[in-house]
Order: sequence, then C-alpha cells, then structure tokens
Amino acid sequence: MPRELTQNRIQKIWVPTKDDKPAPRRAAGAPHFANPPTVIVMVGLPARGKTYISKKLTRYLNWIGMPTKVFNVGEYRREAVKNYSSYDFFKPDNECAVKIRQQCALAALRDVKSYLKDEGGQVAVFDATNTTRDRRDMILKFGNENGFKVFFIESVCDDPNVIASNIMEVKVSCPDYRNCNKTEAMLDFQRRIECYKTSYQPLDPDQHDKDLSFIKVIDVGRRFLVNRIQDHIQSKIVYYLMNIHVQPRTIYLCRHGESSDNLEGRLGGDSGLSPRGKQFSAALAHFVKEQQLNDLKVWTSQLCRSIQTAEHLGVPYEQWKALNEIDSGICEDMTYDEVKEKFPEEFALRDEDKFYYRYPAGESYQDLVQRVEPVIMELERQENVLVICHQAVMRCLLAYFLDKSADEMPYLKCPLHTVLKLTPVAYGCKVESIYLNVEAVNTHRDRPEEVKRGTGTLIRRNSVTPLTSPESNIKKPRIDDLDEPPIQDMPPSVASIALCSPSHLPLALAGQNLRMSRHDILQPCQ
Amino acid sequence: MAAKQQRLAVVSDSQVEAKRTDLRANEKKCSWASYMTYSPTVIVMIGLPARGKTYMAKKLTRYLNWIGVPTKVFNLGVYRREAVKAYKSYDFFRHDNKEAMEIRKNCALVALQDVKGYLNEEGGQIAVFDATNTTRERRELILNFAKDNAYKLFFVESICDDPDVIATNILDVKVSSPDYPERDRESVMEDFLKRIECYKVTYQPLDPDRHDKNLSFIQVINVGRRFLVNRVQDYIQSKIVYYLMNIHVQSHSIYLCRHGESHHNVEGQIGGDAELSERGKWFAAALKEFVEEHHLSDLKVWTSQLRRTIQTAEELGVPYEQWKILNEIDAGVCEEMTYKTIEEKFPEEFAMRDQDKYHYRYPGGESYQDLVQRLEPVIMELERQGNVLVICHQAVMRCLLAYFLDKSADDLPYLKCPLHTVLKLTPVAYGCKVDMFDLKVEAVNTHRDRPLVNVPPAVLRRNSFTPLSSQDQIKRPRLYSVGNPSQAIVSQAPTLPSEGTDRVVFYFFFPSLMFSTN
Repeated sequence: MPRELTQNRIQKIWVPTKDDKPAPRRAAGAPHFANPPTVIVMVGLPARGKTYISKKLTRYLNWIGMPTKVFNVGEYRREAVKNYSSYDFFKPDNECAVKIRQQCALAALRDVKSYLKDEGGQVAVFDATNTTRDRRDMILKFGNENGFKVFFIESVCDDPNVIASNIMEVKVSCPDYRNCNKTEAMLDFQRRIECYKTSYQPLDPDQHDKDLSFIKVIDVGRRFLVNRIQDHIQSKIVYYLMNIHVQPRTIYLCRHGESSDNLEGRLGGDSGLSPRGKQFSAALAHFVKEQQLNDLKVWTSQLCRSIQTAEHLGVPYEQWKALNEIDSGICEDMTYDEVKEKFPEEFALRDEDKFYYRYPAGESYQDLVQRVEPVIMELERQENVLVICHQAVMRCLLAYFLDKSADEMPYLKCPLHTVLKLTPVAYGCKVESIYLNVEAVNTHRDRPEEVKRGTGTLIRRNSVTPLTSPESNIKKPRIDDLDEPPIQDMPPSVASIALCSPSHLPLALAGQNLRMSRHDILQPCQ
Repeated sequence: MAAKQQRLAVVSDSQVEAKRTDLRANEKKCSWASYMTYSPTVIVMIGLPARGKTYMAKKLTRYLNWIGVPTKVFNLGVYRREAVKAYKSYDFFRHDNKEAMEIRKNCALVALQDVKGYLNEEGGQIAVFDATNTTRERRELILNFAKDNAYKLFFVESICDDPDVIATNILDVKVSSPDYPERDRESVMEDFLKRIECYKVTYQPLDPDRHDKNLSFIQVINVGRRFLVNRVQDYIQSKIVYYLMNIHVQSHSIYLCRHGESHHNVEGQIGGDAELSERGKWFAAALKEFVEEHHLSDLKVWTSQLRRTIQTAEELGVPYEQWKILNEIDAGVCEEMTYKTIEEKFPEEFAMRDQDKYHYRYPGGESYQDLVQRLEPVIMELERQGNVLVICHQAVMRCLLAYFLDKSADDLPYLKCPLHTVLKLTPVAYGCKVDMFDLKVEAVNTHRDRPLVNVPPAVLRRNSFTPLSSQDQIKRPRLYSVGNPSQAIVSQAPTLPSEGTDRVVFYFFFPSLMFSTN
C-alpha cells in the first residue's frame, strides 16, 4: 500500500507518513544520490596551493549543502609541537619528528572518522602533503575499513615564481615564523620543500595509481589529468576545480536601485525604479567609471528594476533568469503586513527557519542556492564582474564568498544603494562596503528576537578549519603519547583575524552616509 | 493570485514595460548558453578510426543544440564517400597512395569551406569537424583556417588501446557503413583493421608537454577512464569538458513517464499540485507491475516535488529521489486554469503562446526554453547513471525526450507524451532506441496540437543530424574539383508513431536507417 503523503510545512515537500512515524530528515531540492562519505586527500609539495584548494572547495561544497570540513595536519602538528625551530623538523631522517608527524596524521584521521560517522559530515578534506605512497596507502586502508570513498587531488607546479609568491603570501606570515623576518622565513621554507622532494612520489596514472580516483591540477589550472571519476560528487568537484582561477580580480555585488514596490514595502513583483532608484543608477554609473576597470562584465536578472539600473551604466550587460529574486509564490506583491494578516501561519513558519522555508508555490533560500549555483560557477571563471541583483539573491552569493552558514545567510545585511566590493586574497575574501550616498528605504527584516537563540540544529556548517572554529578547537589536539606539554596557546590576534567571516563584517556599517571600507583578511596557514 | 494579475495590468501600462518589451523584441531569442559563446568555435576530433569520434561528435552536438547553442557535425567520411563513390579496400587509406591523399585533402578543404559557411552565414556557433586529423600537418591546416576566420579551436582526442572496445565499435557502426555494402562481417573487420594500420603509420597524438602545450584540448583516454584537459578557454569549452566527463558507454535504459492522471488533468487545469485520480492510482499500480516484469535491477527512481509524481512513485514500493527541478513548467498567472479560461482571461497571451510555444514565457512563469535550462543538471546526471525511471510531467518529459531524440525547438513543445505511457530509451550506436509501452489504463488526453493556422517561425535550433540524414544536406557535397557530380541523398527522418499501440519500437539515427537509401 502506498503511504499517505503529508506536506512538510517549512519546506513544502511531500513526505510519506506511515504508522504516524515522524517525517524523515530534511530533504534537499536535489537528490543526495545516497553516496557513502568521501575523503578528499590532497597531495603535493608544500606551497603548491593545497590549502587554498582545500578551503575553497570546502566553502563551495558547504554552500551547495554538502557538509564538508577541512582537516589540516599542519595545525595538528603545531598543536603537538608548539615551538617550530627550523626545517630540520621536516628532514626525512629526523626520526623523532617523523614519529610526531605520523601521530598527527593518525589523530587527524580519527577526527575525520568521527566527523563522517557521528557528526553528519559528508566530505572530509584531508589537507596534508601526503607525498609518499606509504602515507597514501595508509589513508586508502583507512577509507576502505570505514567504507569511505577516497578521491585524491594532487597539485603539481614547477613554476618557481608561482611557488615564491605563494610562500610570500601565506607562508611567511604563518605562526611557524612568528619570530623571524621574511627572508629567513622564505629560506627556511624553501629548505622545507627540499626535505619533501627527496621522498615525493607523485601519483602515477599509468601504473601504480591507475585504479585510484584522482585529479592532478597542473601549473595552477593550465592542465588537468582526471582519472576514474566514480560519482556525482567527484564529478562536481572536478568541474569546480577546472573553473576556478587565481588571477587577481574584483567582484562587485549590488541590488537594483530602489523600486516603487520597495517604497510600498512589497515583496517580489516586477516594478520599475523609484526616482531615488534612478539616482542610484546614475551614482552607480559614476562609481563604475571611477573604478577604471577594463573588461568589466555586468550581469543583471531578468526583472525590470535590475535591467533599468544597468541601462544607466551605458555598457553592455547580460541578463540571467537565474538571478531573479526569490519567488515568494502566493505572497508575491504583498507587504509583510499583508502576509502576516492573510497567512499568519506561513509568516510564523518563515521566521522559524528562514533558510529552509519555502513560500507556497514559491521558493526557499535553499532552492535559491541551487538556482544560482551556475552563476557562482561562472563568476569563478570570470574576472571583473558587477552583479546587479536582488536582496535574497545577493545574500546567497555573499554567503558563498564569505562562507556564511545557512542560519546566517537569510539575515545578511544587503542594503539598497550599497555596493560590496569583493577581492579574493590569500585564503579568503576582502570585503569593502561602499554606500553610494543615495537614500533608500530599508528592506531588511531582522531575525525575530524570540527565535534568535536556540534555532534548530544546523545542517550546513561553516568550513572553517579546526583552529579557527571554536567548537572543534576544544576537543581537537590530543596526541596523548607525546610528553611535550602545550607551552602556549595561539596568540589571540591570529585567532580573531583568522575567520573568513567575522561578525564585525563591514556590512553592518553600510547604512551610514560615508564611504568606508574595512578589510577582513584571513591568514591561517599550514 | 488575484493580486498578481492586478499588478501585471498596472505594470504593463507603465513606460517601463514598454521599453522592456522593445528590448525584448530587438533581442535575439537565444539561450543563455548561446549568449556565453562569444566567438564561433570549431571542435576538432582527433583519433584513429573506430575510437568513437563520431559517437562523441554526434552526442556532443545533440547536447549543445539542446542547450541552445547551434551546432553541426561535419563528417569528413561523408564527403569522401561523396567524392569516391565506390570504396574498394584499405588501399585507399595508405599514406603512400598519392592520388587518394590528394582526394582526401580536397575533401577536408571542402568540409572546412562548409564549416565557414555554417559559422559565418548560417548562424552556427559551433562546428564539429569529425575526421581522424591524426597528423600535425592536417591540424596545422585547421589551425591556420581558424586563425584566418577568428574561430576558437578546441580539440577532442580519443585514445583507446583496448582491442575489445575497438572490435565492438567496428561491429557496431562500421560494418553497416556504406563503404561495405555487401560483405560479410569478417572481411569487413579485416579490411577495417588494416585501414586503422594505415593511419597508425602517420599518427601523431597531441603532445601536451611540448608541441601542443598551448592548444586547448581534451584527451579522452580508454573510453572515459582518464582525461587530460589542457587550457580550457571559455564557458562553452568548460561545458564540453564537463559533458564528456559525464557520459559513459555502458548499456543502460532510461524510462520516462508522467505521473498518473490527476484531478487537475480530469478538469483540464494546468499546473497546480493536485492528487491522483482513481485512474491515476490504477496507473501507479500498473507501473509497479511494469517495473517488476522488466526485472530492472538497480533501477533508480526520480520524481519531481509535486504530489502527483510522488504518489505515483510511492506505489512502486522502492526508494526514490525527489528533484525540485523536475517540477512541471511554471505557468505563472495561468496556474490552475483551463486552456479555455486562459483564452478568455488572457486572449493575447494565449495567442502568443501558439505563435512561438518554445520561447513563450508565461507571465510570472516559465517558457520551454527556461525549462531546458533548468533541466540541464538532470540530463547531466542521467548521462552519468545506469537504469533510471523518471516520473515527471508533460512539458518536462517533452524537454527530456527532445534531448534524447534530438528534436528541434520547434517540435519540442508538441512532442506527444501521453499519460499512462512509458517510454524506454536505450542508447544504441549513434542514436537512441525508443520502446513505447501503453500501460492500458485510460486517461484524459492533455495534448494540444500545434495550431494549423500559424506557419511555424524560423527555427533557431537545428537538429544535429549528420549532413547525410539532414534535409538541408541537399546542398552539401560538391566536390567539383574531384570530378564527381554530386547526387542529393535524403533519407526520411522517422516520425513518432501514433499513440495507443501496445508496444512500438522505433529507431532514431540508427546508421542502417541513415544510409538506407544507398
């Protein structure tokens, strides 16, 4: 007998109920493909961008709704051995150090296991050099024993300039080199690379490793070798890695100018700009000129207000339907007051869980993320782009760049008439918020007080590394058999700037009548 | 809903709307994917014979056309056969056969002229040059051609050393080639293997480390086990690479059907989220039987997130996955209306839809073109999977079917996808075999025929037929210099049979059909 269907009230998904059993776990808009958990294993010499790839990939996977976490063995090592003295530690014949490093890897793998088995993780990124077959065999065995799929990402790069700039950018500021100058640090780090080179065994697609699933990223994305992709998620990962690049560029996000619906406080619709909205468009044109960007691409949605805004710029632009505002279904064109009056229950449900809440016959933020995924992929491929979009869409895009959780995303502040300038730096993103000095109504609705705390369990997590994430920090390092007691904690300064998404993001300042910018640069390292 | 309609009226009065309509009228009706293809691209296949080049070329072309990028295959073999009507033996392909070499080079030049005509004058955005292109000399010629015309080049090389795969390929598609009209299998195999040897003598694979390191290409190694990707330049190349990485050649079948008849179907209302009617539930039971009868192991079942598909899947008693992107086309302000109501309330909209059903977008809703874009990830995942049953909706099923059967944008919205009928799609050789199963549970007819009064508008999308099977082929082969008068060859494209039959099998683009007039 077929089971009765009841509709999940938040997500508006039909779920079967039998014997009054509660509805199953949250469904997503797309199938899960019921995959076993995956361990992504980075391979490569130091300063080959492994941590960069790990973090970026993790951010992407979390954003598309696949709980993912990075396990950086370097951080376990620094936890175990507080005082790094020199590259001597990485010499292959330093037996004591080799043992410590092995212990660190094992401790990290234990954490991988509990993340994937007990904490709801689906993908763990094991970020270490993993340059020897021995080490990789150990990981394969670990994957095999636990029923995890293993996918290797090897970064191969011989361009000395790339390596040098990588060292300068993220390695010399690493806590290992707290007490030395840049030249010393550079020198030591290069010796450290030499230590690994003697034992490095790259993945061998022709013989030894021909049955493994992996991608080799060669010369920072100029070439890729892809071997034996097994499933949906691996194929996604490969596609993502082939689309990202490291050329410096800037992404500008803003909303359309104030619309007449904004003035009336109405949701959705397809109205035109208000007089102030037009003023903003002119200010935006001025702003774009000031930035002096060659080859700036401009993207809009297919809604009137964003196209009108772009028209003022006098440059070519492209329309994406995928950038249209969230579809509020039966609530389109209503004010919040009208929604509250007509559909009080729906109104309350949305406050309960704004990310998952789907408007009847409309969309949720979760749906929106899926819809704008191709936009993110294309943004990654492009260089300078200005995206003129809408409040909910901008929140989704911003959450990707700033690694915001599903819980925070629907409450990110994206005021009208304010441009966010995003510049990728090191492992994160610098954000400047530029208010263009044209007044507009405030369309932001704060998280209601009563549900501010104690919201339900979050399915998505931030992809912060263990050291920057307070919760995991507590239980993490525990290499019991090493008798070296922790000497000092991480200096607080590092911890506080290490997050990609600090709470003091300049977004909060955006409503003021001043141009201001604050830089949030993160710099944890291996 | 009422509010929506009202607002719509208000907006349409404003100047704003006028301007935008203007814009819309001026704008090409092209897809997003086509937007993103800035300059024309020539995809150049490389590889020894029987390495699946034509398979990939055709499949890729079908995909690109479906996502809205006008693409066409130029198969050099077709030109060669046109120039030299009677194939004798592999001698023709020996590298020291000077006369033949001359003919082959001329064929290539003529094909490239056609590529140019297609990209410069006929609105094509991508041309797939399907030939062996195994020598650097030949590739140099193509590189110069592309440079002169400002085309981007992307090479797709297929490398395969597995003798079993090659033998299968020869049996599958080469034995039925017009080169071998009345021969027995073995001699064909022998001749073809010798033909491959002729090419091997001069084969220079792409060299990613030195000679070809600055070219953009993908090497597909041993039928998708490994890929080497070099210098992807743009959106469309990245799409092509992703697609080639997801397709596979393991035999599998895809079953498409709609949900069982719903209450809205009975009332003639479109869209909505109604439940199954009594007959709809019978269909669900019949579908369960069908699935059991066919012993479909490892069958994956996908539904939309609308109640009628989920109810249908529930009856099967197997796990299933829900995709929101499989939901029926969003009819916007017309949701839950009957066609008659729409005609009364929005006569203009109703008429516009008949004019150009593929591009027509419901106010506040979607067009078929939007739907194709939405469904692209489903196609990508279907390509990756084994046996899948997709329980979906009329417009969605039309879009999916159009992909597998290479239907044009013009035909797509009128494909017949009746209720209570399962289509079984099995990839064979270069095409797709379709079995149609009427599960013998009556249902209302939801199909609206193409109105007869309107002449269909110029078709933007084209089928990716190979030159020989496509109607516009009449003007194609013209190797005047070789002294062979050209002869028009047209084979009739098969049409969908009428519904109601218990089980119908028909083939699309099967080579034997394609060359049947030879």
